[in-house]
Order: sequence, then structure tokens, then C-alpha cells
Amino acid sequence: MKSVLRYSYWFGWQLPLQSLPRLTERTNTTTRQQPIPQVSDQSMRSLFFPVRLSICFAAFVAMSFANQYRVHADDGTKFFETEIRPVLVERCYPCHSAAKNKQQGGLLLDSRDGIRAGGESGPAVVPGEIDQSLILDAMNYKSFEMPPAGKLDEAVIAKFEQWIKTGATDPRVSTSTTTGPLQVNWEEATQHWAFQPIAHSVAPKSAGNWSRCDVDEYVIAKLKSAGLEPNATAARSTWLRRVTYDLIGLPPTPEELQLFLDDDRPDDYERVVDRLLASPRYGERYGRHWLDLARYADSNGADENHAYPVAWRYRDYVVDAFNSDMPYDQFVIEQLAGDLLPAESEQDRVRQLTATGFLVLGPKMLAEQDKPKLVADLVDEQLDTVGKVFLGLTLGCARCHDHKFDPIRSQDYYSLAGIFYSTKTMENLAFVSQWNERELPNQERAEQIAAHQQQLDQAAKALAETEKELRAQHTDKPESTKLDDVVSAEEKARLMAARELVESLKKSLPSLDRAMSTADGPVKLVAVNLRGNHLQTVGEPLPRSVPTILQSTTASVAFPTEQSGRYELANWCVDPQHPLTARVMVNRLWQYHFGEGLVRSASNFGLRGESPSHPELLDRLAEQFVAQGWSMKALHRRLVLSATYRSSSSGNPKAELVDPDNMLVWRMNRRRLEVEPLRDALLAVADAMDTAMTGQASSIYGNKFEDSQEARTLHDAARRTIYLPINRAALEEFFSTFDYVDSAVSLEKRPVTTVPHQALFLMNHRLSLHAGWKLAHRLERHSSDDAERLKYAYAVCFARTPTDAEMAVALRYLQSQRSSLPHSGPEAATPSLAPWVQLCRGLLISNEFIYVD
Amino acid sequence: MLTENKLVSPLANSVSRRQMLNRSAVGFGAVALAAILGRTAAAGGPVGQLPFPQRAKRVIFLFMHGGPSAIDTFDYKPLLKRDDGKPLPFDKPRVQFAQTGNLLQSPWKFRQYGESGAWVSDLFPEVGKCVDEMSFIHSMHGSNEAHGGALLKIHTGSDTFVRPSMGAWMSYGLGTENENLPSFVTINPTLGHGGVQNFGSAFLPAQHQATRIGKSRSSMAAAMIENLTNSQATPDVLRGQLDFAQQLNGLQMERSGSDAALEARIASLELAFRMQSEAPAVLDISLETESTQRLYGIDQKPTDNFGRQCLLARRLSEAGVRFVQVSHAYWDQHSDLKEKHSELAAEVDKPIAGLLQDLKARGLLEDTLVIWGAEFGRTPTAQGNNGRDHNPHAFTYWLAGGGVKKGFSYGESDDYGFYARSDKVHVHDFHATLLYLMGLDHERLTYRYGGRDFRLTDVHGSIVHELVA
Repeated sequence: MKSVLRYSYWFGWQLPLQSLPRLTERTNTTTRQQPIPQVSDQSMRSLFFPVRLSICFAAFVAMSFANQYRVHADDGTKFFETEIRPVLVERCYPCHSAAKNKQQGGLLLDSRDGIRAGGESGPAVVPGEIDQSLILDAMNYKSFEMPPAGKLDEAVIAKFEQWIKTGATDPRVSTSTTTGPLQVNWEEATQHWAFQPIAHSVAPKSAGNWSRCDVDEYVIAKLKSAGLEPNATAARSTWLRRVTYDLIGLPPTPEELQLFLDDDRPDDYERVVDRLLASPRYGERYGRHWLDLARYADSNGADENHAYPVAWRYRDYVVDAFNSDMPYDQFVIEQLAGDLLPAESEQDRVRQLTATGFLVLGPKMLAEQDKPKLVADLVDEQLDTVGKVFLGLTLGCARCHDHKFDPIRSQDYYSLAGIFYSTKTMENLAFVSQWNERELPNQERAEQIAAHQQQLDQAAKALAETEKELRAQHTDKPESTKLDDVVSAEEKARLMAARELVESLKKSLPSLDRAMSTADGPVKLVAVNLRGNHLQTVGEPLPRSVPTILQSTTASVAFPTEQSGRYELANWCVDPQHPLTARVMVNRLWQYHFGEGLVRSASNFGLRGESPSHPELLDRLAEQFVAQGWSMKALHRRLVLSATYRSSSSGNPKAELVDPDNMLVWRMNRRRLEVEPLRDALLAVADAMDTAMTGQASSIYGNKFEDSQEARTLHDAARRTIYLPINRAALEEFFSTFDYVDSAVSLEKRPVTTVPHQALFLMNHRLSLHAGWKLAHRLERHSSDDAERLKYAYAVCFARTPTDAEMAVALRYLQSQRSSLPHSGPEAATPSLAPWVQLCRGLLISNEFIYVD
Repeated sequence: MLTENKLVSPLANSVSRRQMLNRSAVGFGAVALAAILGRTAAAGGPVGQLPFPQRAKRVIFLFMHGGPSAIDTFDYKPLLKRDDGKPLPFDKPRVQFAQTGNLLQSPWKFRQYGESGAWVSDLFPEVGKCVDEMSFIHSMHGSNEAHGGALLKIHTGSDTFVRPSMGAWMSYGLGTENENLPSFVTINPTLGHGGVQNFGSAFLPAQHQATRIGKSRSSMAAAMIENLTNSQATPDVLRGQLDFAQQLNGLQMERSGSDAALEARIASLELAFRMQSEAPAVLDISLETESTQRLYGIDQKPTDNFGRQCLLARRLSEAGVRFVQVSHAYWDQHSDLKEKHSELAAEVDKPIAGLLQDLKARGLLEDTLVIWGAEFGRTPTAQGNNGRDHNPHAFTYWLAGGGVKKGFSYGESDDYGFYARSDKVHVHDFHATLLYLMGLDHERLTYRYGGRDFRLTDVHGSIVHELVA
């Protein structure tokens, strides 16, 4: 395996740092070749001018067979010094020399060893072999375009050709210690924790009664060994708000709060968790997490932002999968290979086809005119997403070169790529290409269509007969006359009726629903693309295989000759022995619950990823996840019922000093709401949420939608945020303001920034103004007493009762507002409510509203 | 230092760098909270020592969406006239957006301007008068022949992957000059062809994405930043409401202890309030004198709207916005080159010249870098009988002000302007040079994301030192 092909970085060759006099000038044809002794590279610059001219013109023009021979006889040193070295120094060293500390493409050209060893694509110079000397290719702008600032003069290139043909004499001794490309230490890499089999572990046993389950035992053991204690348990109301936002992305209602506070049954916490997990709102919350990973959107983005009119079916599939607690292994298989699965029912088939939307949803350069490149980019996008999402591997890095940090070689990449090259993701590669959609089977609809078609055929036949009959009645008129012009008014009415029937039946012809979905195409294996360039392949097309590094820990995979191999890939991913898939997913769920993962780089379990803070716990969770049938709900239940999850989020000076990043989970991380629960919470406090599920994000856009008025109106709709259209090229501003900035790449975790635009949204956006106004009306309906209203407001917004100090501040504020009544706006009509409207809006811009403790 | 964004190792036994940054960037505890409630400005700006002299402090990028033809504007090709109607004497690119025919001469006359004698076509007579302030790059080249890919390339450096835009990188590298305003503003950007990605922050923190004003060809008569105004309450009421919320925030902090995130939010509420008070005035070009407005062609057809865009850019720039992009559309003349280019140039010629003159008169041109360009140029060969196709292989950019040479020209395209020929400047080189002019090193301005350090120039790019004054 050590003798693997090495791929070039030559496309990364740089422009020289200084601009150099142009080699293309043709002003002097008289300069003669200068006899120049061997000089050091450092002294070259001072000699530059005459040398440069000599390279360019005279010698070549005057070159005869005789002096070619003479140069050769001279063992070539002089030729090298006069014709070759100056060019290398001036045009190549800036990016390929140890002195400049530049080694683009792993290539050093400043020594004989370097130039012969070459870069990652192979030797730059092979003495005597002009076809194998890549430097000539590059200079001729064939494979690479070097130097990039401008092609060398033909005469200069001819010199290099001559030099190589005649043995490439090169007196330079090595000036550098490194040659060849950087390489991952394979032996070390195989020892990386994430590539080891999941280890069975037994939970430690702690003294005391803090622990509620094995999860807690792992946590407290680590805390104790660091000399720390877990935070005190959070108040019941705090836990309720936390778990409700966590599991369903909404605040608890005042009624739910009261019920829980009054519940003294032994399984009070469990009841809450079971209620939340059974709520359809749960799938909307966790489905949204998955949609982040799946880079879900309702438009293509990239270059041509075509709407994806049926992407929503995939979104609904995801929501349903979570709500029905679809086992994760099945979830993985369906998304990668649903179209290849046997189906027991029509419903199964629809679901499976829809699931593969995962592979089709990515952004594509639809107008790319280099269509093979479009396909290569598409495959790359799929491979990169699959790697990150399911395996926590940044496979995409190996497209252009062996992975810099992880033991993933370009062969691994292209072996996997064959699977996706053999998959049909595009319907066509037209000028503006079209992604693949498939009809969803529906027996009932198909029968309707058949019946309808029959009617249509009959109507068409009747029309033809009518036309024939009428024509026969008017044989006196020439055939060329239009039938309409020869018939009587009465006949014409008959004709028109027959035509209209045909037209209306055509228009009302039902059709099958469609979903973005894949199919298997012809099997196509690919060779390594040099530097990711599809025009430059090396070696033979590679058989499909799974990454080498994982072959020793997982069952071997035989890829069928007649199929893409997606099914085999998917099955391999969910092999119970697979060291990554289960670990990656349980870590994601941990991250969603606690704010940070046990591995804090949730989509990168490679060598550059973060190490697990609790490796044994991670393995225990992974092992049990698989053992419990890959049930996500079971895992949720376990985590949110743990003592660890009940910890308060308060500060603790000692713990902050020892573990400021809370790696050991001594407290619950305080979290800012993401844009979806934030917007949904505004709808919830306004008591205005439309809980309709499923369906097209918008019925109004066809092929394009760019910030259309209709889309805008939809954003004002009261449906949960997950159902709003995601327009990649014109993302609604409040999404990006609250850190959902990119729907084109798989997103492992929403970043959290704090910027004034967020505050401006809550202060001034119509949605939050409306929420404050509606909340005030809710309070008014609830009670006429100020204190009662305040308590209710606190229950709605913060799921707790206000403290005395908070009551005092609020009442004082109310008083001040009552003494200075405004204004315009809807509240002006009900002046007694105006102070309440302002107060409610004040609550909504306070920190507590958007943070969860 | 300013570029580091290192993730901490697990179980780091001390206050992490990230936390340090959080704390120092926010930089206040309970005492400072009181100060903030007393409405004192919070310090901001991560800038330490810059690696290079900061020749330009801010950028105004005049982006001509669609791709104006270099050979009909600033890249004079006399041979094109001579060889009109003849086939191109060398190969066309392997990949083309559309098929083109034979060479098509420019419908416009070129003349030389200024002491530098730069050739400018009759499309830009006003800009022509400014050539002695400008550096032309006639050898720009990119790698994508379609609008979307080419826009993404010029704005983010990548037409393959999602990457932060150059304005976001500058905001990230340099922070803001005025904390009451965003550091990156884009005026009338297209929402197609990559849309928000062209001014997004990708994996950089969201504060570095552009604040958008309008979209392609929006009227500037009522230009406004979203959510900046509140129609339902007076400033006094809003202030009172914010004070109320901040009191609650203070009580919450008392209960839960100090927290960098909560403190930052408290500060950002104040900042938002100040933006709300101050930004509308910056956006209000009616505060400018009539003669200034005239200079930009405001209230005159057909220059009014783009004149407003340019004047707004100057006001934002003057107020400290780091990167302002002003977009104009739509220069995509696959046909009707003469008619449409004439119309479009007439809309922008005077406003651009006005902007340059105005910046110069105010002494702002010294450290404000003005850039004019597009996603690509157009082919010297004809599409149909009166149009030109996309050409990413050679196009012209010009720069003015902020540290670039005056009356200078760099690089050449071939005799017809199809390919960049000498001193080629790739989009990556262009980015490297922009960052250099701003005092940043494109190889060191990095952001760690997903286990890897990212740069605007990826692994490419060389600074074009020749352009630097």
C-alpha cells in the first residue's frame, strides 16, 4: 500500500511573489548565449538580465544539431546552468523551493532529488523520458498550467524538452530536507480511538445517591477524579422548560407547568418525557436537527436557484421517521438506498423512495457547462455529506489528494465515488440540468388515471368521428378549407363541445405524486482524478470499496456488478461492528440534549476532530443504542431522565476554574434558542400557532422563487418554522440573523453569535411586535388583576413564577407606562392595554426569553 | 493572533482561550453591567497588530452583475476592429457557456484619457476623466463560465464549496470602525446566482455576514435596513421598554451568576438601540447638499438610482463600514450588446465618477479602496449577430484609492481579449492583493472549522505587489 499513487498539487502552483520580467518579450534577437559557470541560486538574481535574454531567444534560434550534440558532450552542466536553472529559479522556485519555504503540491524543484522525486502526482522530470516528465505537461499547459502567471515561451519549453531528452543533467545537490508529499502516518492513524471497535464497558459505581442511571455514574466518576461535584439539581420548573424546549422545541404551557408542579407521583418526570416523546411536535423538533445534517432546502441555491417543488416530501419523511421512532439503522438504509429496498406495501415504497431525497437535495451547479465536472461535483457533494453525517468522516478532503490528517487516501475516495457515479441523481444534464424526481406509486390514483385516460381516449375518438362526419357532410368544400369555416352554427357548437370535452379531460388528468429520489444508473467505476480534476485521471478505474482504514473492523463488502452498491454501503454503515455509525449518532443526540457533544466535533471523528471527553460513556451509549434496536426515543428517554440532565446551569467559581468549558458536564449548558424554537415560541406565547403538519412549503412557486412576495407572506404564516420554505439563495433574514446562515452544507451544530440584529428583530419585527400584542390580550383575558396577569405572563414566557423583585420592577414599569399613554398602532384603540403590550414586548426582548437554563 | 480560533482540547485545565476571548471581547462583569445600564459604549474590535501596513481601511466594491465586456469598456483591442468578422485565430476554450462565431468588433470608439493615457471606450466618458486615479488589471481570469459559479468565485473564492465572502473575511479580520453600524453592507445584491452566499459568512460567526439593503435594482428612494425602525412606539417608549428588560436581565444575572453570553446579550441590546437611533441618519442621503447629490447624478435620469446607491455607499463608508458592496444589474448581453450596454453604462458612468471625485475631495480616497468589476467579461467573438458570451478567461478590473498606484495598468489579455496573456491575475491573486492592501496576510487570515484552517484564498493566491503604490 505504500507504493500508492501520489497526486499532485500542481493546480496549486502559485504565482511568483514578485512579478518577473516577461519571458514573452521579443525585442532583442541578438543576444548571444553567455558562458556562465555554475552559480548558486542565491547569486542568480544579479545575473538575471543577460541570462533571461539568452534563454529566450538567441540560443534557441541558433540551435543546430551540432551544438545540441556539443551540449550533450559537455555532460550537460553548462546547458543546465544557462538554459534550465535560470528559468527554474525565476519562475518555479517562488512556489517550489526550500529557500522560499514553499512546497506547493508537495513539489520541490530546487534540487535534483526534488525534481526527480516530483510532487504528489509523480516525478516532474524523468531523464530521457519527455512523456513521463510532468514538468513539460505543466509548461505546455496540458494537465496543469505552470507557471500560472503566463505560459513560458515556446523556445524555453523546447529547451526543457531538450534537456530532459538528453539526460536531464542536474548538478544541484539537495538543498532541502523534505521531498515528496506530506503523508499521514498510517500506523499511528490506525490506532486512532474512533477507528477502534466499540468497547464494552461496565459503569463505575459511585457512593451517594446522586446517580439515577449508568450515564450519571460515568459522569460523576470523572467529576470526582477532577475534584468536582455536579451542580445542584435544577428547579422542577427549570427542568420542565429545559426538557420541553429540548424535545419539542416549544415552551411548556402554563397548564403543563401547573400539572407538573402539582404532580407528586413517583414517575412524574417520566410522565413528562413520555408525553413529550409521544407528541407530534417531537418529530418536528428532532426532524429539524436532522434536516440541518441533511442540508435540507426548498431550492437549489448554487448557481441557478431553482425551487425544489417536492423537497417537502423528504422533510415530512424525516418528521415521520422521528415521530414513529424508526430504528436508526433503517433510517440510514432508507436514505442511502431506499429505492433499492424490497417493499411490502405501497406505503413502504413511497416512504423508501422519498427517503433517498437525502442524496438529491444538495446544491448543484445546474448551469455548469462542463457536464462531467457537474457530475464530479455532485458525487463529491454526496460523498462529503454521507461521510460527515453518517460516519463523522471528512471524506471530501480526499477528492484532490490523500487526506491531510486522516488515513483516507484518494483511492478510498474514488472507490466510494464509484457508488455514486453509478447512481442516477440527475434526470438530465441539459444546458440547465435537471435533478431526478420519481413518481410515487399509488394504486388508487393509477386506476383513476387509467379510467380518466380511457375517458379521454373516448372523447378524442368521438371528436375525430365528429370531425370526420362533418367533413363528409360538406364535401362540396375543398379539403383544404378549415372545418370550422364550412360547418353550420349548430354543427360548430357540436364540434366545439367535443373539443372542449377533450381539453378539459386533458387538463384534469390526474398524475402521480413525485419525490426527489435516486435510481441506479449503469455501473461506472472511476479512476483517481488528479487534484480532483476529472480531465486528469491516473491509473485504472477503481473497484468500489469501503475505506481501507475501516476494513479491518467491519465485515467485508461485496459490491454487485449490476447495481450501484448503495445498498451494500448502507448496510455496511449500520453493521453493528461499525466503529463510527452508532458512536456518531449517540454523540449527536447527546449534543442536542446537553448543548455540546461528548465529542465536540460531531461530524468529524477523524484525527483532527476532538477527542471524547467520556470515551467509555460514549461506547456504552453506542453499544446499547445498537442493542436496543437503534431506538432514538429510548436513548432520549435515558438521557433526559438522568441526574446529569437535571443539573442546574448556574455558575460555580471552583468548577469554572478547573473546567471552564464544562467538558465534564458539571452543569447544564445554558443555551440560546435556535431560530426555529425562537420563532415558534413567539407563536406560542401569542397562542397563535397553526399546528398543521406536512404539505408543500408553498403552493405558489413553480420553478423559481427569489424573495417573492408570496414567500414573504408565508413567512408571516403561523405554521411552525420547520414548514417555512428554505430558499437557499435568498434565505429569510431572520434565519441568518439567528445563526442559521447556510442551508447548502451539512450542519452539525448551529453556531451561536450575539449580534444587535437579533435584538433589532425582537424589538421591531412584525412577528415579535404581534406576539407582544397578542400576549397582552391573553393576559387581559386571564385576569383583571395586575399581579395575576404578571404571574401568568411569567408562566407563559419563562415557565416559572416571578420573584418579588421582578414583580416590583414590572409593576413600577406598568405604572410609568400608565402615566404616559401613547400613541399609534393597534394598541392605541385599547389604551388600558397599551402598558401591558409594552411590558409583554419587554419580556420578549429580555435574556430569559431566548435562553434556556 | 487575530486569526486564531483554536478549539480547546478536552479537559483543558485552565481557562480556555475561547473563554478568554469571550471574556475579553465582552470584557465586563457586574460592574460593567451597571455601566452598560448607564448606556456607556462597550468596547469592541478584535484587531491587534496587523501584519502589513493598512493602506486601505475600507472598501467600496462596485459590482457589475452580469459581466460587462472588457473589450468594449476598458481593454482596448485595435486588432479586433481590423479582424472583425474573421474567425478567432486560435482555439476557443474547451468549455464554453454558449457557442460563439467569429470576431466582433466593438461598437464603441476608444480614446485616451488623462496623463496616463489609458484607453476608455465612449461608454464611460465620465469615468474616463478619472483614469489618473486608477489602476487597471487587464489580465483578470477566473474559472467558471456560468454566472452563479463565477459570482461565487469572485465573492467567496470558491465555486465548488460554501465559503465565507470576502467582505465577511475583512469584517472578521479587521472588525468594525463603527460599532453602531454593521461592518459589511451590501446594497442591491442579486438574490440569484448564489444569492446570500455571495455576501454570507458561511462558517465565520454570523456578525460578519453582510447587512442587506434592497435587492437587485431596488429603488433606493426608501432604502432601509430591516428591523431598524419601529412604527408602533416612540423612541422614549422603546428606551423605557429596553430599560425594563435590562433590569430583568440584571436580576437574572444576580440569581444565576456572571455569564459571558448573558453579558454579551445585554451589551448587544444596547448596541441595537444605538443602531436604531443612529443608522437611519447614515442612510438618509437627503442630508447631503444639492451639489453633492448632483455630482452623483441624483434626481437625473438615468443615473438617479445608482447615484443614490453610490452616495449611500460613501456615507456608510465614511461612517466606518468596512466593506460596502454596490451592485448594478444586468450586464448580460448575449444579444443587443450595443443598445443594452449603452443603457447600463449611462446609469453608472456619472455616479461612479462622482463617487471617486467626492471621495477624493473629502480626503477619503486615500484610505478607501474602490473596486470596479464583475463576475467575468465577455467574448470577443459574436454570439448571434450582436451579442457576446461569458468570458472568464480575461476581463478587466480597476481599483482606485487606498494604496494602489495611480494611472497604472497591469497585465494584458491577448490581441482580441479572449485570454489573459501576461501577468495574469487570478481571482485568488486578486483576493490576496485586496487583503494585503487592507493590511492582512491572506495566508495567515485563517479560521478553523471542521478540523481545518480555511482561508479566503484556499491554498492559492499571490499578492500583486506591482499594483501597490
